[in-house]
Amino acid sequence: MTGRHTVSTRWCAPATARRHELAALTLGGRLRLVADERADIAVVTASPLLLDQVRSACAAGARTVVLDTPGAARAADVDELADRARALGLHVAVAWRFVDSPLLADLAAADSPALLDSCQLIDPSSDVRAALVEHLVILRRLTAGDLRLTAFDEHGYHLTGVADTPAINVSGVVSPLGPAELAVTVVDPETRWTVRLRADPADVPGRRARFDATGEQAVRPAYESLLRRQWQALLDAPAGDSGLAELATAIRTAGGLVAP
Amino acid sequence: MSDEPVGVAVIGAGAVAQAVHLRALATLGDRFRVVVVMDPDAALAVEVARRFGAAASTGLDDALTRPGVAAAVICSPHRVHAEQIAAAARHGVAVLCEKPLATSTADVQQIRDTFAAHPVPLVVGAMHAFDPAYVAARQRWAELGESCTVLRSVVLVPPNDEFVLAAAELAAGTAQTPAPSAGTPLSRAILGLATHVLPLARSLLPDVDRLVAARFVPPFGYQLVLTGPAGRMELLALAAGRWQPSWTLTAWGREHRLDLSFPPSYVQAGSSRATIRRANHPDPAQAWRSPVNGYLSEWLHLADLVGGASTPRYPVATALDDIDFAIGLIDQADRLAAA
Repeated sequence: MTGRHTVSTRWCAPATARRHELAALTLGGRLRLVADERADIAVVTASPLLLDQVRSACAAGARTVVLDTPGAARAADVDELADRARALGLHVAVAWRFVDSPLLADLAAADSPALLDSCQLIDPSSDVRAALVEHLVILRRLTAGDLRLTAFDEHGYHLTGVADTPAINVSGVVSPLGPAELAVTVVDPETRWTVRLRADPADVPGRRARFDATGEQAVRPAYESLLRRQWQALLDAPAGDSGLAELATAIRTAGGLVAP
Repeated sequence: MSDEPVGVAVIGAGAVAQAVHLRALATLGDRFRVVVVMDPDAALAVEVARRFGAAASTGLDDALTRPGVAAAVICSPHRVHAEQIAAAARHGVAVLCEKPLATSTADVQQIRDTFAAHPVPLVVGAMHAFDPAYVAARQRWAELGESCTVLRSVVLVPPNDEFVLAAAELAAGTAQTPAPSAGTPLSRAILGLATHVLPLARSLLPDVDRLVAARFVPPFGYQLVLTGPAGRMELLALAAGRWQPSWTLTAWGREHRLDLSFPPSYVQAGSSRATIRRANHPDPAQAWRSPVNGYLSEWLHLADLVGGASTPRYPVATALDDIDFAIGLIDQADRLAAA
């Protein structure tokens, strides 16, 4: 994408709109927020009205849709959205909170992990199932092991691996002691990795550390919000894989785990 | 109350005795005096006793009845803990017993019967339960009226030999790790490692007892997940590798969060770091840290109990309930695996 683009948050929940507006303002040279729905980029919060809202956004000129809180979408709607996107030449960018962090990218390279532990802190006002869906996407990029749900209640969720190796422990904790956060630990006989990411749009850097026999190596902190990075990526490479197929799979997996 | 140091019989002269307890007792010379070191391996008993200026013995009753012995620290193989505790209690000797307190329900009943007939002070060497920062934070947690809904304990440590060898030059013939209990790898991990954590976890989240996931994590570790109406408990451990240790416990309450970060076993480097944070509150977290480690703290508590200066922080009934719970987890894990 080149030049100046208009962004509408008309189809967002208010809190979501504020997050995106803040991030978009930091790229003010390339993005201009508009008050009405006529814009070439529309931010849409996943909801039962998703397809109608996308249709309206496209009718108002949107050529790109940023899908926020993607885990709250229905799998069938995501499939339909993918079909429409192909038919209309619409680009859909999935706005995950954590999935696209570069700090998670090479954890999958851990050599024969013995243990994979991840804990996500979830704000009580958030959709717990949506958080679970994102967690599943992250896990799928790290391990192919099947998962079993052991708890899903007002306190959050817990998943464990079906196979013994690696031992997988995945936890979602609903807590007012925010902000939302994701921690991932991968341990193999030689190395222990820990990644900790904050979800809020402030510039709190994520942390990734690698521990081995020689000590600790921490990645130099990047004081940039994940959401701003996502917007930059969208502007720099708008034609990449939208991730809708991955999203639909995770939604179906979550559905099968929670209500088999 | 006497100002005289408490005379101690060391029962079992292996790595735990040398690297943990004799070192702690040397630090607390004004409160304790090592009278005798007992081990069935006579040469080991003599060598360890010589290092600490104590007598040596190969007989349990002989050691427990030496003049001046008022307390015994049991560092012997797990399977003999119950009978040695019973012997000490019969002689009116206070006990600090290394964890696990027992390895079977029959052992637990034997200890229960023993203490009913011969009530002597008992401290279980679950050092983190005596960690001063944890104790202070736990008390604050109770004052806040907080109740835990989710608890996660994650213990990622290198094998003990690294810490044992950094703590003490062991006498010739000493095994670096205690003889394992009988049973499955998971039962050994529960009795040998999870018993560090269970007293704290059960204190913070007591009404959670349904095991929904259990597995042994090789080379030595566990994954245990328990649920109940009060919440969820996740206990995770792996002893492997040569990476920096991390021993944490986090309890989420309705409005507060308790974080604990402990040093590994054998390390006497002060207490844990404990913090309590409150949701949406501008005040900084309350934090606790002490130069006194859990090992010293458990010994100081035993001295106070022997001197009548304190009531048990961790009553015998609670200690027995905790080990009964741990043994019950093994049974539940077996049933879960069979299902």
